[in-house]
Amino acid sequence: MAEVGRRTARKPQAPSAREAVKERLSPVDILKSIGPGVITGGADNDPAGIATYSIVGATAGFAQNWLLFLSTPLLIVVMQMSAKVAHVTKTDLATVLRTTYSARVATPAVLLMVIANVITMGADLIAMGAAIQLLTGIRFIYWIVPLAAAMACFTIFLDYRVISRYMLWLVAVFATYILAAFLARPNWSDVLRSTVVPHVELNAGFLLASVGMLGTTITPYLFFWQTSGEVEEKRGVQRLSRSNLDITIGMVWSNVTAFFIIVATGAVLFSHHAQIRTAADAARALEPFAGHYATALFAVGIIGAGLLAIPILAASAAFGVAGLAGWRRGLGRKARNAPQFYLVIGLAFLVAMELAISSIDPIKALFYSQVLDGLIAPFLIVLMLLITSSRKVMGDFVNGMATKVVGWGAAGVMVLADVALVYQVATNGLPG
Amino acid sequence: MLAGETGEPHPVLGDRVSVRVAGERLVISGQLDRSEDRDELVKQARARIGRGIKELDTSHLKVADRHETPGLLDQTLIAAFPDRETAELACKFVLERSRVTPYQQAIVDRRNAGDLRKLLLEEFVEDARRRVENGDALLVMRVDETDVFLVREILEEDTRSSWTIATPPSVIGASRWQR
Repeated sequence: MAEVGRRTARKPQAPSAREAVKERLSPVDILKSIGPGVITGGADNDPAGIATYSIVGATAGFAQNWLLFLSTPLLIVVMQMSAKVAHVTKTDLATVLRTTYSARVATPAVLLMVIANVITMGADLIAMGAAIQLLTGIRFIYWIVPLAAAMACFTIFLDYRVISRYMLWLVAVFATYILAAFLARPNWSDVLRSTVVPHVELNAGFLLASVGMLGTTITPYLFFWQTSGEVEEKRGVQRLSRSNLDITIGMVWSNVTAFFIIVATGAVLFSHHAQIRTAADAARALEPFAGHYATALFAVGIIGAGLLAIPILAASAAFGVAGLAGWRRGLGRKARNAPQFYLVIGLAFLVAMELAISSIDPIKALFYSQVLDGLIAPFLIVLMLLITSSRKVMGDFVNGMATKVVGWGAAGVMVLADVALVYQVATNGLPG
Repeated sequence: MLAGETGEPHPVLGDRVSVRVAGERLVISGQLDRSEDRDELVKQARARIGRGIKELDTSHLKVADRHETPGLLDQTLIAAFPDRETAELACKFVLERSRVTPYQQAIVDRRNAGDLRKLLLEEFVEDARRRVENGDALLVMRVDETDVFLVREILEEDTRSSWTIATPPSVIGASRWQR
């Protein structure tokens, strides 16, 4: 009798918001879901990323493929967490960090991202200049100012979101790496083994390549870009399933492309002990597919990747700073209606241009900018995990156990690689 | 009233629409959240025909493809302002600008700090009370989840609240179970 009494006295359960927005997607819905996540995936393979994957393939062959395989679910989960922050809080990452913790936590996070972005922009500008040099023969240094000025203008004065949809097709050029990889006839059993069986070398060169590869895959600016993108698209929790699908497609495509860049460069360059010192060296990986046109194809791809990624890098920096300061922001806004936001974009271009002009070795600049991203990323992943695991901030949309495990796994893998790299560099110095 | 000066942001819809005059043709373009907004704007523009304008071009005035269902979830926004007068002004501005009808709205300062328990979920009461004790006035608005992007944007970027947070989405009516 007492048991029955207890049962009837129990308060009714509150309905779950997560359950309320659950939806079953039809194949048409799946197609319609493709949007900002795929653009983010395209931007993930920026010129610096392509250079990093090429260097990894040329110097280590397929030995680090497993890291890319491992980083795919980590990247998907981190990006889905970033999107979810926007879906729930309806604002961008910098604002969430500032209002949830304090400006003392948000400011260093944003500053680190801005520094890494501007350096990456500088490196990407060099890569684009080098690509145009391949086509025209005119030294890359002369292309940097016109490129930066043109891109700053179209980011500030045109609707970038519309343009990027067209630009994405230029990045499709890198799908040629898939064909190039097959035509290079690598030993597929080696490729498969190195993809699923982890291989670790405790030397500075291997660790540097690992941190660079993780940094270019799980890139800090993408977290800021994804949250801001979801806010601009006004995608709330009712679009969660579609957004997750969009991100998954984008990130898988990004990493599949990266995988084949490594396989192609590994098969063509590593097997012949060739090193990448110039953009022309990197383009040779496309020779099995494109023959004499490899250089032109590579150059077009790098230019497309730069046109897509550099404005995103500048905008992410501006979204971060504007979120910290509470300024009006958004690429959908006109410049005169969000002047500070666009001023930050302009400044980012200016500093990046200065860095690009003063930089000496383009390939090194590209690679080390990604190593810097790899050093910064774990700090931001941990902040993201703390936010998305807080029931107070996320309510019913708090991280589940699987997301927490994968998320902390991502942070753990990156911290481990960073610590090992710092130790190796401290004891043995930087590799050549 | 249509858009103030041509080339300037629209007084209500901001830079979601742009208006320009090409010869004797009035061109309105942009993307709006609601079809009612589009209809109203087109109606206002049509009324101008014959007064220096011969034709109207709204072929690039779109309504955003929204799939969210209103009336399913709600969220509470809490925004801090230096005093009650500013909070009241901000509230008026948000309502005018967003044309959102909140499910609940209140302004809380030291005089009625006790109301925070009635308005907010337990975990937000302490943060809010601390703001009120520091002399801030809080604008508390419970709105439909589909309107939160717009209301939060106006609170943060236009009324320049010093602190704005949104409680997580909950099923409308669920709050009575939670309190």
